[in-house]
Amino acid sequence: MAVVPYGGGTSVVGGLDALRGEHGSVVTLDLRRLDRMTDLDPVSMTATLEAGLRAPEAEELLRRHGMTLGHVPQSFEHASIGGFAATRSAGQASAGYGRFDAMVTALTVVTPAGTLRLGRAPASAAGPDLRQLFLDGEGALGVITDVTVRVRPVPEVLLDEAWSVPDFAAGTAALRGLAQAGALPTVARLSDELETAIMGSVAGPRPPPGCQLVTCYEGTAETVEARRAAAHRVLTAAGATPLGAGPVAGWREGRFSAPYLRDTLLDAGALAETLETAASWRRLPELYGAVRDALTAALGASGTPPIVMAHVSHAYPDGASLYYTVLAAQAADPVAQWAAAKRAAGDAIVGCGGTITHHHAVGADHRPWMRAETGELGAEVLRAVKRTVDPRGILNPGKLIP
Amino acid sequence: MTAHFEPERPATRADDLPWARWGAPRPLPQAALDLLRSAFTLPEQGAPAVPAERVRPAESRLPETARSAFAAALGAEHVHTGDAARLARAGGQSTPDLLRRRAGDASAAPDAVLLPGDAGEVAAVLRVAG
Ligand SMILES: Cc1cc2nc3c(=O)[nH]c(=O)nc-3n(C[C@H](O)[C@H](O)[C@H](O)COP(=O)(O)OP(=O)(O)OC[C@H]3O[C@@H](n4cnc5c(N)ncnc54)[C@H](O)[C@@H]3O)c2cc1C
Repeated sequence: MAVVPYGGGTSVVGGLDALRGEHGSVVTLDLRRLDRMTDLDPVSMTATLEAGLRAPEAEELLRRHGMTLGHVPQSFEHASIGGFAATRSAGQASAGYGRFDAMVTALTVVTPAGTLRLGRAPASAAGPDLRQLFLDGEGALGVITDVTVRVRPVPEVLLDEAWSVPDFAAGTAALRGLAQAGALPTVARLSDELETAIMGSVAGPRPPPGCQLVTCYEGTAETVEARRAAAHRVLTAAGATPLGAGPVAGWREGRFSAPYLRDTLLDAGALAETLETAASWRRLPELYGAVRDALTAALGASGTPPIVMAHVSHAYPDGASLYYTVLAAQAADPVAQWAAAKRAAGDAIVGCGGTITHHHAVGADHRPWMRAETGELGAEVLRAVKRTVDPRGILNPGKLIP
Repeated sequence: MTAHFEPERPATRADDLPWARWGAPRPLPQAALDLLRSAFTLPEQGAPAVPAERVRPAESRLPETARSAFAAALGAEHVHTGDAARLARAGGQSTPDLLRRRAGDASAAPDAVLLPGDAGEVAAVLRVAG
């Protein structure tokens, strides 16, 4: 019988469909009752959290002790600790707090072949890092039952600042400058021209022409001041103009309402979906245009020309993510309509040297592109791991493993 | 030497996701509606979802032997084969997931939902399933 691990239920890549595979039946293993913080080590600044804790519940537990995880994806209200680990989630404050996979120092994974307890020191040269092999296992390589994660003190200071840059190229150059100078704010999010205009017209006040960059700083008064001064130097040199805290308030207010409004858009007969990728700075400009053009052409061919807008929300010294929001009228068969658009976008991503996913993971929906990602030998390595821990293939069949 | 920490649970629990939505309906801001209507031709009556109470999953295929083995491992109250529990876990939150559920399609629903209480019970479920 097949077993589908289930955390918060927020997968956006078909990771939770109860596929039977070659089995007669399929059960969902909901981890909700694994809901304890079993250790808090204020000396090492780590906490051990059970997998079924939802993000707000984990934050409640940590804040009792003056701590925070700082992991705030848009799915915060529902997503679980185990789900973050099983998909390599990235939160909106990833520049300041790191991706979820970078926070995990140890984890417990229960597999049909036995239980692994991985991670015993902050860093290790004892062979390849098995923690990283089982993170992002997406329920196909075992059930994560707890993780030990790095925690931080609740920040004393939160400081918001928006900037305007003349265009998307200038904005990405500014972000690259910040990342390469080690001066990234805790949150740094650059909208392209269309997203800037649309968000501005909806949330008001109307932004200046060009692109808007949202930045937030969190930490102690000293660290915030130092980081802000460093970022200001880079941004000013890059031709950015400060807009003050005002526009960030709109983003903060609206950032958790997007999933509710997507439902309302679907109710109205519109199609609203997102997709994401990442690439090196050198490849980013071509990738940015190619994915937008592929989505526009595919949905145009369905008779429903779309609005395609994008932002960069995760920057690194060597590259960045791209996150697209797509709006269109629903066609008669909206599932087939989106499938064609998604196929075109995925092909464009892989064709331009981007990754098929920066943080949504693979599930069933990105599996067709996994071989392009890992190569045939890499795919065989993943299959070998799967055979070792799950010889009968009962864990989440049809997901992740190419 | 490790100082002893008494495990803690949260005082309040986050809500479960409702059928085919993220939460209670919220209206679009007027500016967003205007923008949509100017950009797209949308049906006057919208594209309402099939109401949850009209959606039924296929009959559970969980064998009786497996059900009693899970009940012995977890307690019968943590083994659910009823429609509501199965529909509540019928897939994720991608737009295609939502569109299928909104159309009344519950084919992604599992045959049963199991709620283990600890890592030992997770291991027990995998033994029964395998
Ligand atoms: C509106 C919206 C906004 C989102 N925003 C973000 C964002 O900002 N950043 C981001 O990274 N992602 C985002 N996502 C994607 C999603 O929230 C993440 O992938 C999240 O990490 C999934 O957590 P979950 O607990 O809901 O996992 P689920 O959706 O329940 O499961 C995801 C996958 O992991 C497996 N799994 C779950 N728990 C375990 C476990 N304990 N052990 C083994 N496997 C397990 C499941 O089988 C499934 O394959 C968003 C999704 C939505 C719907």
